[in-house]
Amino acid sequence: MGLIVLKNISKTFTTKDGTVEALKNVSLDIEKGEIFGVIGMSGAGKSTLVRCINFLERPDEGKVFIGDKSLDDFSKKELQKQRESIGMIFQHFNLLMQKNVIENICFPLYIRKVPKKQAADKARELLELVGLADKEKAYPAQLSGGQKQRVAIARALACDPKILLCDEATSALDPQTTASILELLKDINKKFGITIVIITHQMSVVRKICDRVAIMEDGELAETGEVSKVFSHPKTKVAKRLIRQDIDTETEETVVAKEQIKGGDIIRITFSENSAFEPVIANLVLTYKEPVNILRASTKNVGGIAKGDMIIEFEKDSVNKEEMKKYLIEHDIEIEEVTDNVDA
Amino acid sequence: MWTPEITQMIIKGIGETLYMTLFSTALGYLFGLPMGVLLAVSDKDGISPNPVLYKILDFIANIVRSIPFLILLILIIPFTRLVVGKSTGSTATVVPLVAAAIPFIARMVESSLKEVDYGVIEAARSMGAGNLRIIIKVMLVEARTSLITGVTIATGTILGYSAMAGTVGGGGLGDIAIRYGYYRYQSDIMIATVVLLVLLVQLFQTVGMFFASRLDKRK
Repeated sequence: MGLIVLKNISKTFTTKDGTVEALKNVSLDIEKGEIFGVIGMSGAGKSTLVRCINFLERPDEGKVFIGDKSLDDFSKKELQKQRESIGMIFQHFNLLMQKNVIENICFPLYIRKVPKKQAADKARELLELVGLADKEKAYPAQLSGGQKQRVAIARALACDPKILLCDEATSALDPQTTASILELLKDINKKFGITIVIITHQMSVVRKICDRVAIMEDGELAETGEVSKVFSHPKTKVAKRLIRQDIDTETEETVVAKEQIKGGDIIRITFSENSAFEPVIANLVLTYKEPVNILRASTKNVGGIAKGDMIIEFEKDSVNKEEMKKYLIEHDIEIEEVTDNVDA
Repeated sequence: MWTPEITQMIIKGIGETLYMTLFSTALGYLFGLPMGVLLAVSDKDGISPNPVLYKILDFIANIVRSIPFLILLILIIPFTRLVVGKSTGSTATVVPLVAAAIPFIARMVESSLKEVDYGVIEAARSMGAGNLRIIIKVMLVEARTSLITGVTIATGTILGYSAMAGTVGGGGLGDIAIRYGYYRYQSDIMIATVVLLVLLVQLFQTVGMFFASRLDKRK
């Protein structure tokens, strides 16, 4: 049995417009030490699901087990105690705006009645970990979104939790900041062995750091499995849709890919109307007996005409490089040196 | 017309007005703050919904607030006598002032606390904080600026009420304005007292706003 076990959880909300079944008979088993993703469109019930793990929402039916103990059996006091071992971070950070960074991180320690000095030491240690050692006295309003989330992570770790719940923790951040926050979460998972549950609507987040993923739709679990398996063989419609969206937003990330490939010259070639129909690259390789590496290829609809666009890389010590470029130009292909970024 | 006695009287009047206003505000908060907290907490979107408690407090607040102050002043004279032993003078005026201030203050505290971002409360709860701690360490702290603005408004309003208490011999600047300015047609004294009242309100407002913005860390 895993560290976090949800058994047949159901939850219904009553609103002005009627009842909403946020969760319908959901069962999950999250192993100790893994990074588990829960993904779904907004309204799929994933936020309610994560709140059931620390009983911020009590399920109407079903049971939640943390390390073999059912949260149902806990008294109010025991539940509060239990929550100390489950850290949580949020989309909008939810820091105390009237308290500075160190006071925010000390807050859960004060709840636990840790002496002031000891709490401050712990907070400084955590600030070091999240890379904000110099921001101790700053107020949240003076920090950027990424920095606020780092403070929130430090706060969530203050009581040395076994579990860290992340509710859309990167949804309010830009892609670069998101990447750095995910990096930090991964580090924390490795360093302290904390089990992390990530709620998100971004497949890229799941792809980057999760070991396993559960896909939710309309309050039900559509699919659960290892991330690589779900990615390569999505079974359900919703999984396929989420993965497709992820690929569409992928282009930016080829920049990173390029830096990792250390090869020869890189050029962008654009096929014109005529050249698009012949196997130019294949012929090029056959003619010069020298391989080229295709880094990216796509076809675009430019003014009603299908136009191809490809980024290729010559071998590091290519002898025929210049000849090959000439060959391409002769075959009605526009070429362009790519020096810095392989962007769209 | 303007004799040293009048100056003396006006100085005494300022003292009485300050005494009534500040003492009533302080006592008003002593009872109004907990009442406001209970209102905010027990409402259906509060951290511990309790429809019965909310309805009762809501009803009391509405009743008291809908009685015109002048009528309240007279209505509770028996109670005032019971508490301070007399029904005229500055101290006697404090009783109806506090009675009027409590529900007013409670409403302002309630609305200040309801402005607190629910996410922050949820975060505190996720860390294992109980309701009492959430009220004291999260809600009251996060609503600080709004609460101080509320104190400023309450002080100004109570100052205005205290001037009204002059009609029943409550003392203070309002009393002087009515006795000399209104009953004896001594406009100069009336104008002087009104100007002083305006200055006092300005002073409270300025001091209150200074602290409110000084203690606001959101910018």
